Amino acid sequence: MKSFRLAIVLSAVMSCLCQVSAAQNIIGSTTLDIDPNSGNVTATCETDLDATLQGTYQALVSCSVMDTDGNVVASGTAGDPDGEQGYAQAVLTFLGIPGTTYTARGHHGAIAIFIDDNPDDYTKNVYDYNYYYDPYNFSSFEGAPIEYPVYNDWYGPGPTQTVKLPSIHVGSTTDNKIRYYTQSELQALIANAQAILSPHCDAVFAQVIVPTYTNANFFNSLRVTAFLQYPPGAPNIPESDGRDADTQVDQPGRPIELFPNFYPTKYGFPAGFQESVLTHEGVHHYTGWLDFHDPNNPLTPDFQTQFYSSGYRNTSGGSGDFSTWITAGCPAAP
Amino acid sequence: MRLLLASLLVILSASGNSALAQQATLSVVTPDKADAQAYRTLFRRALSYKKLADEADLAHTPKPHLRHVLATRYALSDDDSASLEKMAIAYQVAIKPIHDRTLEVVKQYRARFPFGVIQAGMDATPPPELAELQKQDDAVTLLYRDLLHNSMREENFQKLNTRIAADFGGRL
Repeated sequence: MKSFRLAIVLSAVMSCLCQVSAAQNIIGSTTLDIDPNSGNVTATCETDLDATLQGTYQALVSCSVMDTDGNVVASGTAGDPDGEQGYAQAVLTFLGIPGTTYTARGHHGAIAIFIDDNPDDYTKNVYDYNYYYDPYNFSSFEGAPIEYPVYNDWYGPGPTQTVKLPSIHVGSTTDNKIRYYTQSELQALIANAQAILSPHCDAVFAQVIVPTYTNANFFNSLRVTAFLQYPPGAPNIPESDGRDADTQVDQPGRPIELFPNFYPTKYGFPAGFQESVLTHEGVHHYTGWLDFHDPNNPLTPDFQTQFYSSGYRNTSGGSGDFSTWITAGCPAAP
Repeated sequence: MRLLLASLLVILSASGNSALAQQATLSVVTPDKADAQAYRTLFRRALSYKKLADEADLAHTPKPHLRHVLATRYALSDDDSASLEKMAIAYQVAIKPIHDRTLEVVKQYRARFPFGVIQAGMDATPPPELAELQKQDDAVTLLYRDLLHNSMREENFQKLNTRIAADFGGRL
């Protein structure tokens, strides 16, 4: 009895392996990559047909990229009209916007190329429509196409079907990534922060941050700072309490964290916002000072105390007041 | 035990038009078949990015980032990235006769059906040679996987292989 069961199982396994060796798969893949040096986004969607399928189908792929808000920002389709390649591939590439999560989605399909003039189902009126030959029954996936991360293969289960429309969508694959600021973009923001810092702010800094402050020292120091980026959707975003950025003054090298508020939105920013935030954090980085007096660190200077005589007043209770004060040109107290 | 055997039989013999049949089949895709699919996709992407980057250079609209897509995705060193590109080019040359023959067989097969119509009584079974050509394609792809393996440090290849399998290796 045991050997009988074993025979049944082996026979079933062999039957299944025969299906595999028949190699009648539609293979779909989608990848999305972002170049860390240039910020360019590259989405690649591909539908590949096993050779067995190439006689009766053509590969088809439709590729799109959406931004965080679900807007389609790039799209394209590709086919293999003469079946010369056995696959269809679409590559989309464009410059991404920092802080955006891009999602690429490839819709995979095959085009049935033969008209079946003798469908099994004689209720179909062949004079009204062409019926296309779907020998591996890929149309069975059309009812509820499923989306897979990056890759999937769809095995044509058969039996032969006829379909009204030649284009058969089997499912989709997807991939996504977040566009971070590139190093060169951060350097450009720092250069801009230096360019728009008002001469009065510069003089105030020189008066308060003694004895080492010079404009060049300050911004050169900011240029070599490590930036820890936390755009919207990034993993493990620290609790930011609504702040735009934070400097870890108690950590070696005083790295600067950039929180989701720092990144562009579709509404844009007030002029000089990011530059003022960077200068604000630059002061933390350069001096090690805190935003507010901390009773637990009574010896560590803070902005409220240090810049009080220069006119800085914190009225909102939030650290962003210092950035606003810089944007305004570090005015004296009214 | 009986229940287990019965369940296995039901799953394995499912040949209807359901996704279940697909899952059952995929669950026994061999590692070599999965590797062939994965490395075919990898080599094809390497060639596509190179071609697009070369075309962009010729059009004086350079897109150098296309030359680094795979190196960035799979954390490849400059040397390994160069090896991958070299191997993809060699692979393309090696696979061409198989692709040419596949195209020839496909054209002959399609020519049997004038105007793309399968008339009553015609046998539309695809030529068995296509399945044989697919096996040859897989074998050549695996050979170039091995050549890529030999051109890289073992540790680097294993890291790449793990990442490729995660991306394109199917559901083993």
